[in-house]
Amino acid sequence: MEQETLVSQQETTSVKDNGFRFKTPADVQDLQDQPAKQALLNNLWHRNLTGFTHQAILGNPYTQVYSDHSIDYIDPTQDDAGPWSPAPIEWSPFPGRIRGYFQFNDPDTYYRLADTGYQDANETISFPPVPADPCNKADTDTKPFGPYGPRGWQDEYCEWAVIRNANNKITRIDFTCENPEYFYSLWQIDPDRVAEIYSNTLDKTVRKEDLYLTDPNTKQVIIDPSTGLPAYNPLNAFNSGPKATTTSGGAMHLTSTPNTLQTEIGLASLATILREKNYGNFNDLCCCSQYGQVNRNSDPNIGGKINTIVKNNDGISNQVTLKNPPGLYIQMPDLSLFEVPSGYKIQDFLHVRRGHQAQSNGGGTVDDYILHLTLEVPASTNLTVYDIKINGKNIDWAGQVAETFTMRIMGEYRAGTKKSPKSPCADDATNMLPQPLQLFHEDVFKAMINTTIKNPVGQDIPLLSNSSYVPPVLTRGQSYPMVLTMGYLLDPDQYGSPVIRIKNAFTFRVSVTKPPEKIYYATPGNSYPSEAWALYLNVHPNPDIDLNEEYKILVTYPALNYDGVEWPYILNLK
Amino acid sequence: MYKKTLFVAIAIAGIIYILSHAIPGRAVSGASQAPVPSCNCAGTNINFDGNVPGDMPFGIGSQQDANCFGWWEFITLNWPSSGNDFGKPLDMRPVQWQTFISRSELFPAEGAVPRPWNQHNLFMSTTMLRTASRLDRRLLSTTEYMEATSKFEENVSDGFDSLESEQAGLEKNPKWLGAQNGTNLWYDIRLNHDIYNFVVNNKYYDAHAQLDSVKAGKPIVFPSGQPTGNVTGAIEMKAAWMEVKDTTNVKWRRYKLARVAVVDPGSQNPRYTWVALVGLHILHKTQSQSTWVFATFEHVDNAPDNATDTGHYNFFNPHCRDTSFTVPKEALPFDTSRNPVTLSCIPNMNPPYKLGYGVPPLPIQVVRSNPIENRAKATNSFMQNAIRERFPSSVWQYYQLVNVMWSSNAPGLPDTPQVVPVNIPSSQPSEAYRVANVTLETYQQGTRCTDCHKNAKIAQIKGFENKYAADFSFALGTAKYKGFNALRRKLRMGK
Repeated sequence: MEQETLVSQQETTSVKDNGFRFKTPADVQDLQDQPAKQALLNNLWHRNLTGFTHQAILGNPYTQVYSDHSIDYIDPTQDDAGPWSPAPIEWSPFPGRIRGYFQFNDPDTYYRLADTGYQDANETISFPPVPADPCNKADTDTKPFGPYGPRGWQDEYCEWAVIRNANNKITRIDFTCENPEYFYSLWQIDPDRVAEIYSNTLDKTVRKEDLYLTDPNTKQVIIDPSTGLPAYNPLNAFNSGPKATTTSGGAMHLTSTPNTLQTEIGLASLATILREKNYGNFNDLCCCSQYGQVNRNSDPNIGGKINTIVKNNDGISNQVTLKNPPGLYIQMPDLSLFEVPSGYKIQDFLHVRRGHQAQSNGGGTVDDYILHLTLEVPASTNLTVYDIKINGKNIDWAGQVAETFTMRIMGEYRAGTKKSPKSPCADDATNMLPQPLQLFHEDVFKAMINTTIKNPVGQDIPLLSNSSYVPPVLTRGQSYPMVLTMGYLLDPDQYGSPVIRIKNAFTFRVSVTKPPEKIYYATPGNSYPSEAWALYLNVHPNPDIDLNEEYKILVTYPALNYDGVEWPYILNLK
Repeated sequence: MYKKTLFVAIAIAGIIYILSHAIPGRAVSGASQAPVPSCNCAGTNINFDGNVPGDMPFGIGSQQDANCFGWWEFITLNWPSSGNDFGKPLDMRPVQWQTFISRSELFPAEGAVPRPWNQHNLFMSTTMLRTASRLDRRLLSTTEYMEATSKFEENVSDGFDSLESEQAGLEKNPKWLGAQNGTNLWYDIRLNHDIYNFVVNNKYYDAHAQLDSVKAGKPIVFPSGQPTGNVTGAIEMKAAWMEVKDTTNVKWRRYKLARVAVVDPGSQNPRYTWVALVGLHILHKTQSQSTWVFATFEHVDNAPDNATDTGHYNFFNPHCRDTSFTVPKEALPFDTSRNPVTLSCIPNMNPPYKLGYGVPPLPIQVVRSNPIENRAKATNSFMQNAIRERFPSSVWQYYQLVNVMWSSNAPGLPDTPQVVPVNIPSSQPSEAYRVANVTLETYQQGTRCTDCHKNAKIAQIKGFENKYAADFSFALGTAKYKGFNALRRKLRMGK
């Protein structure tokens, strides 16, 4: 079964360095009291974002056509020459698909669904089903409303958790738009600090042990070979679901499967591909280009705006990238919307807990880089959030507050040099190619694929759906059992297992250790789960391998003379 | 008789205007070789000229985009219809949007064909002209006539049968607005050339043509502005003007002024007066905003955000006192209304009596219920400064954007007739934000533009259950049809 591959020296890919550095979200420096660790984190984050950018520009050359090799999305690590013009893109964090698909007589039903995932107080009726393929009006099939996951429906890159008191009045709401990749990265550097951030942001006692990934059967803590320390569980007790108490639950970072930064960059890149047909609205373009879900407030708008900028009214195409630091940011609501009890002001209750407010980009504009916003009325006041009003109505739902602010990504663009070609709509490839997705250390993979996550519509998904594209770390000279997930694979019964190669140099030895297994999960960034493959490997980076290169993976079939298509930034070395 | 007189006045004014000004439509900028002044509003280049943008160059992606687009529209639509004196104080000449056709001219009685474009101020006979000249020669210098004392007076399709237009409106309390100078506001609705062409080409000035269209499966779809190619798209303007009594007061150098003929609600005679612009809605359909962009502006001196404010405003007096007085029975809005009536200092209360029955308009206490939000304030500050730097004495620096409504995920154009209410997905700013102009929605500040406009229907035809959407515009709903007047007389007699 074992096959081993040596890769030639000529395939080395060096990482160029033009001095550009991706900043952490909102440029937060969570380890600034430990400069050495902060430097490590900054370097890791820059590397992760570089990888996400390369993956975004490559797109999907495996299973789709007209969906890859974006030429007008700029990798700033290669070329950040300006001048750049700002392109802010905003949307409402209140799930657009709830208002877009459903009609309820009682306006509170929308809020209840957004806050709880249920239509009724007894929490017995969840979301109605929705069209299986909203891009195909002739298709009358339906499917359970997703994304799945404990608060998967909050899919506008903003999620929230609500604390209610014994009288069912809200006492606190936590809104977060922090991407999960940052927490995976910080965990690699300093798990203690992650726990501190949880504690300080959510105002609860959170130990790092509370955040450990465990085996669902044995309950044993899973050690992540990347660090030699316990692995991170993104759906831990303090970051899962829309409900919280003063001692548990909460919203620390995004968990809905499409709410990832890697996805956002991928969407931005894919949206730069011009299409042959002119679309009158962003939903149709979204269907054509196959990024995101139609009727979301975010994806169609983000993609449509970027595509319009690149298209430049059919003139010389513009080029686009995300303004540094790339991220998803809450914009402060207009405080005058809130009516608070006498003797108080809304600033007593509404606080930016992470990120920061108001950086002017000129032109009379205000740019907030808020990552975490709380609305909390302390018990000492004998009041609750319910005593605050918006438009004369008491706040009974977090969704009411969500409607007071917007989310934003900040794109930027510059003039290109030529008119870019136009493509037909993205479509399934006639001849699909093996598609590598994510690489995991085997123990981490097993714990995540075997951990079942429940949700209101009864569609279980594995915790693996909340994994990330932050690559695993391998120590040079050691061998690791690993798992490569794949979106598409040639029929193993007919073609056997592929040969896996990792570039760079012939310093990686990779072997397939057992036949591929079918799995079912939502690849991070996807709204719905689908079938995939798990390929078990043994990976051994030789001791003499260079650090900080770009390591790409190829799924090959030598017998078929198929050499694979490189998928970048698959792992990191130390 | 009064109408004849009025028409004459307007006709003369129109002739004077046509003879002395540029042809309405897109103003031609850059008559000289000097570069066009411009500014960069959050990444969007705004030229100070008369070229009305058809859309944002790359669509609207954020509230900042929307706010900048609103200001871009405001500048270009308020560009002088001749010359480049942008906002020159005391300049009475019409700005670009004032040359558009009024709604009543576009939808003549009995569903008749409107006059050709450029002749829409010339539809009176010479007999009428002579009559007008005998009335008041100052009327010869007016550029508009105004007879609406409420924005809602002519909103005949927002839930009401057009045959009952005299009582139409969102509710039946009087809705005139009295300024602190003891005059009532006058309202003006103007539609641009693209709308004119759309209505004429489709014969939508006749209510039957509208109904025939939707019955045949053809939706009502106004033309969309394009970001390039000189296609402006449909634009509706709704303006609120306050009367100027003290014409020598230097404060009026801060306002866009006009000489107009107003129709006195009591005598029904046209009366010459100066008016100052205090409120302006701009409704614009664009390629990226199929559900229209709704921008609204006000003069900065209109009203405070708080009833405890100590400043004096056009519509707010910090020393306001309730007053009670008796009015003629006919002036009472309802049979059950109390008399004497009380003019309250509680802000934003409908007036307790109707105009036109011998009681002059008295000041209404007005407060802005929804403070201008921070993003609009930031754009206002930037654009007001930009105007001041380029045109130091311009009156337009004293106007402010209240808000702009748009959609972050506007749908495509409909293939089939839509029914009301029309859904606007991803409406921005989001539901929590109320958008109201204190001069145009004084008594309904708890609403949003689209709350009403999503219910805009085609014109009502007797006996037909009207449910068809008119693409967010109330204009089409005012169309009549042959036999309408006779039918209305018959219905009135039957009451």
